[in-house]
Amino acid sequence: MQGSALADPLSRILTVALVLTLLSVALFIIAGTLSALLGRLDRAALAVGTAGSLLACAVGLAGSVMALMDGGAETVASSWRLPIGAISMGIDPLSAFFCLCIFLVCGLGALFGAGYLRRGWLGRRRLAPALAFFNVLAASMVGVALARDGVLFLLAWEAMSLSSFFLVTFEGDRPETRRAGLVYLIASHLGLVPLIVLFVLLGGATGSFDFAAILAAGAPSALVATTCFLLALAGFGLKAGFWPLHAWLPEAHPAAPSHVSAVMSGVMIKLGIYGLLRTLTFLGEPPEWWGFVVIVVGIVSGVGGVLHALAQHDLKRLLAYHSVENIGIIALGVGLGIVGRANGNTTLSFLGFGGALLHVLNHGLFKGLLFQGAGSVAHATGTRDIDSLGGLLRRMPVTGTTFLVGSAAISGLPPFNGFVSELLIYVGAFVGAVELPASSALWTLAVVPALALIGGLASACFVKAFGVVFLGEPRTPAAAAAHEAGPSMRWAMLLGAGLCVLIGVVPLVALRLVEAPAFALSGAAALPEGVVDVLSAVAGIALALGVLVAVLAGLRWALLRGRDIRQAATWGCGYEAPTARMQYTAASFADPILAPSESIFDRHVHAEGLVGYFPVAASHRRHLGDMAADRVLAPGVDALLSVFRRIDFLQQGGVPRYLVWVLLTVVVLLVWQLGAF
Amino acid sequence: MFDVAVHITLLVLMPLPMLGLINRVKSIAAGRKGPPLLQPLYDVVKLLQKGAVYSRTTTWIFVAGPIVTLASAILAALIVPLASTTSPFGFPADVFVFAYLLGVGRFFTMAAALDTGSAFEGMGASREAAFAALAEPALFLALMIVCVPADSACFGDAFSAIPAAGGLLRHPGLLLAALALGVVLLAETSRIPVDDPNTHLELTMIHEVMVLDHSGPDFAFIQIGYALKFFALGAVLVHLVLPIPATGWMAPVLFVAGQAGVAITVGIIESVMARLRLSRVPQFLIGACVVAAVGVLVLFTGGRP
Amino acid sequence: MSLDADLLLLLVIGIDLFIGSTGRLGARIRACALQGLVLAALPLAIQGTGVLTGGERVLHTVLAVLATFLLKAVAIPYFLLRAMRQSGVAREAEPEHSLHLSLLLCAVLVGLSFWIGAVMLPPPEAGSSPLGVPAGLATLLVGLYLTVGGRTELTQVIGYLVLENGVFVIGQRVLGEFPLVVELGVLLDVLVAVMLMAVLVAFGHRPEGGSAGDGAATPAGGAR
Repeated sequence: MQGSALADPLSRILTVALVLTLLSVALFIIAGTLSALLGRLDRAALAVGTAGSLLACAVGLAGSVMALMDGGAETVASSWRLPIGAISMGIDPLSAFFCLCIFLVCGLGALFGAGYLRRGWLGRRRLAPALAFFNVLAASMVGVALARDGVLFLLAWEAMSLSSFFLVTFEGDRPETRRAGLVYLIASHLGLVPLIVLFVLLGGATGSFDFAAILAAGAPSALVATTCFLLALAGFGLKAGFWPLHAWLPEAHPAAPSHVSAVMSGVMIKLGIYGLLRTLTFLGEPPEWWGFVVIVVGIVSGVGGVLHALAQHDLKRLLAYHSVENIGIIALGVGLGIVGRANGNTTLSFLGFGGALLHVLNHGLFKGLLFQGAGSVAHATGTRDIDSLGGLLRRMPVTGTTFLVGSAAISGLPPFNGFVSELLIYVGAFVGAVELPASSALWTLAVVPALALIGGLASACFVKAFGVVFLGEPRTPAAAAAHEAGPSMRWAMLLGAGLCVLIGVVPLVALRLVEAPAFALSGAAALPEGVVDVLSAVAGIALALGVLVAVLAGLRWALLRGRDIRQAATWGCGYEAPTARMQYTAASFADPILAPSESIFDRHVHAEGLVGYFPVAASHRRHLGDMAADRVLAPGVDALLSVFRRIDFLQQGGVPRYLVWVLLTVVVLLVWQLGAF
Repeated sequence: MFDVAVHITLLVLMPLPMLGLINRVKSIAAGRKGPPLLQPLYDVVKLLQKGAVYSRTTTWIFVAGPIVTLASAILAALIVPLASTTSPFGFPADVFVFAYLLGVGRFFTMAAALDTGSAFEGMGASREAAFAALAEPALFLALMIVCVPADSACFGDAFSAIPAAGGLLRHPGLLLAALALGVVLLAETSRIPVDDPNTHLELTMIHEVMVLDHSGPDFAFIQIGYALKFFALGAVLVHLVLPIPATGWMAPVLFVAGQAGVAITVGIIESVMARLRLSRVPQFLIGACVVAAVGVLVLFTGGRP
Repeated sequence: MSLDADLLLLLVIGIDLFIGSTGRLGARIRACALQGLVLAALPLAIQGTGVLTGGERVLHTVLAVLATFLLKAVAIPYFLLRAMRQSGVAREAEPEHSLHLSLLLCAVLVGLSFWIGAVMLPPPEAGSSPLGVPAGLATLLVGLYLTVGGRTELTQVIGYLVLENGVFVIGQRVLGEFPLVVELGVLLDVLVAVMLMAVLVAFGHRPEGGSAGDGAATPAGGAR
């Protein structure tokens, strides 16, 4: 296989691309090892680790873009032989696309992290582990995307989980961080169980874990395929954060340092989507109901995620819940893709998968940007509590403006990138509604109002987050004393925001990036009719919006020139002594939305005070319990525990008792074996 | 070219007088003579000639809010066909872009409201966010009912398919779509029973309270943007209810009559109804979503034409 | 077959949703009366002028329409309204936030009945409205939900009435004509039940389980 691949002139570009991406993995590992070895020399470790990551990202980015533009599929068996068999790595459009996301988000994360770690933690904590594990995380993510056999895939998957665990517990001396780390570790390993079973099932037919062999063996039987699909949905869904398996996500992501949260939320959870898509390629033509299941998962994750996000007071926790929402949007796209595949409708399939993939990239960009913004706010003020902030736009103009771009993008508003991918999914759902028979059409049409609701709620949530944190007056002295982030942090955020605008304004470039993997997934041979028209029109609308805003701004300037412009206090409706604490808070802002959903969610309200005519002190706290954790997972765990308690008597700690069990087992086995003969 | 000229003319001339017409209907219903039809226009012209006062709390967001809102409303109004079944900016899948352009305007209006740091404006923004989020699915479902039978998510194609399908009365799904869209129109443009544009108590306002601190040209931009939004949503409703021909002199006449009908209907609703208690508004909007969803079901049950 | 029938059936669904979404007892009862009126008009819409020229069945149909109108749109709602006023039960049947859930649930039931109508049952014969079975099923299911989920006797009886309306619509669709005998029998049962209930409510003999603040459900988050 090795020889033939190199001999074929058409795939030479691809081979170079693979070499470049592998080189970037090596660079990540070298940089990580070096920064670990530098140990106590924090500054040196920071410099080496960051420079290594940036170099690796640049090299890998070049490689993955080459592979995407080439469009072919390539697998190179490595000469690396382990006791478990040969392991192979390769690159195809799907891998290349996820590599592209990884390199982009990790590069921006490393750039941001350099400033974040230096300003926030230098001298207070050893930086070497953070840098080393960051590089290992990046390398293992690329490894997951490039792996071409089950064993390597799971090894890289595990390396990814463990390295990110060590990053989550960076501030391990805080009890809540330790708890978050523990939750994350347990969740990751629970998620591994279905994946091991999945690969055993897939490999069982051929006796090999090699992806090429699995593909060559053809589609498994319907029962095996369905089992595999459900296992993949559970295992990869847990990493991706599908509702109700997301419960670890809002714990773990806020605990990590912000540039790591950006990478975890921006790309690491997307590898769950990658795994799901990769598994789908092994399972032959999917039945339609898989798509319906994924659509329902997407709707529930999207709406559930954004409603929980609205209730959060912690900026990073809010963003973590938005990851659940966006994974839901991606799942909507994937579901549409599967439905299209099952019906042989390549237009629907292309739009669904293409929209989902583009949203993977877009979410990586804007979520990375937003987590970085949250990180610089936390760094500048020492708190992540939204309700103790305010007025930061004046104090941190770059952070504030880029956070605004990220907020508009995540709300799916034109002319930013989130809109482009959501539009592809909308159009896909519409195509499904028009072209499929009524029973399928209603499922795809359900995506439209769901996405509209998610978009409206996300917009509400980010007006809240941006408005309460960055606008108005500072609510605490800490917020008033905030300062702008350092240069490398600013550059990382500006670059991220720039990419968000770029994709929104020139969506055809983005389409070019997702084209090859979407072709591979959907089986479409050419771009569906009209997609280019729609996206060109979006570019036109973005341009027109820009021109109109410029014209109107000019008009306003011309009108106001030479006129009386005064500064005054905000109109308080007659009240003359307002304080900053009287501003509307995030909790009040979200109340009209959460109140109607009270019958579905558990809202805990703790109110005290306001007694008598002259109340002195009062407090009011609201807290929305995580519905999945409280109502689905906790009862499930309780049920499991009660089962275990039943069989608790087996384990008493006395050696004689255990000897009895051993003896009994031997007897039972003997009887069974003898009986069989 | 002629169509574009008609479109622009209507866009320039109609939106503000429509608001005047609503006020006139309300005045007549209350037994008053009422302000002239062109009063909103006079107000805007006056505001454009004034200076401005800015709160010391505000940032550039406060200035950007009205500009972005107006820009997105203009674009939205250029996308919807008016007295024709084509529009200057029509393109495939423009219905989704239309809805999201309104969303852009809303986002920046709310951000500008929060920029003042006033609790009242925060209150308005919060209500706007909640009600808009609930109105969004109804809007999309209603648009789907119109677009799916036409095989095109473009306003022009969808509208031109309506008369062929027999119009509103031959098409029960369309009736429900019009109903849901009517509710969305009332909610999105902050009319009774969702919001009372004439209220004088900041605590009960939604739209008005968000723009309390804007003055001068900024406030004029907001008023024009609001009128355009009302006009654009009204235009969609008119096309659902009246079969506007693609060309000919009947088209502008019918369209203007239809828009006047929308304004008069809103005026009558505002005269005979009180606003809903705020905690009841979500039920009203969820009801609109459900009505639109039933419309989709009816559409698919009846066999797509 | 005729648009009028389609519109009337849509109105029936709309009334179901309204009853499911309003907390006011009076509004629910009036909506029930309106539904009765629509049901009485339904055979006229379906058979059109045939009602008047159909020979021996004319009398039959006209009588049935009249009876339906008198019972469903006048008599029963009248008793219910009287009972409500005399007993002084709270006008609000449900706390407000549970109404969102109730409306969504009713919407799901409507969707379900469309699905059953489209998938489980044979397609309607040419010429009859495709909405008949879904509308009837939706009414039946919403009525069932209201009967089971009602907190007071009054809400339960309203639910029962709605359920019965659903049976009426389905019967009409399935039998293709006015199922007079069945219908009148059920109607009389309902009438007796309603009068019994009215007497019970009005004279304060509330059965076990229906007491203790059930009627006095406070609207949550109300006073703003």
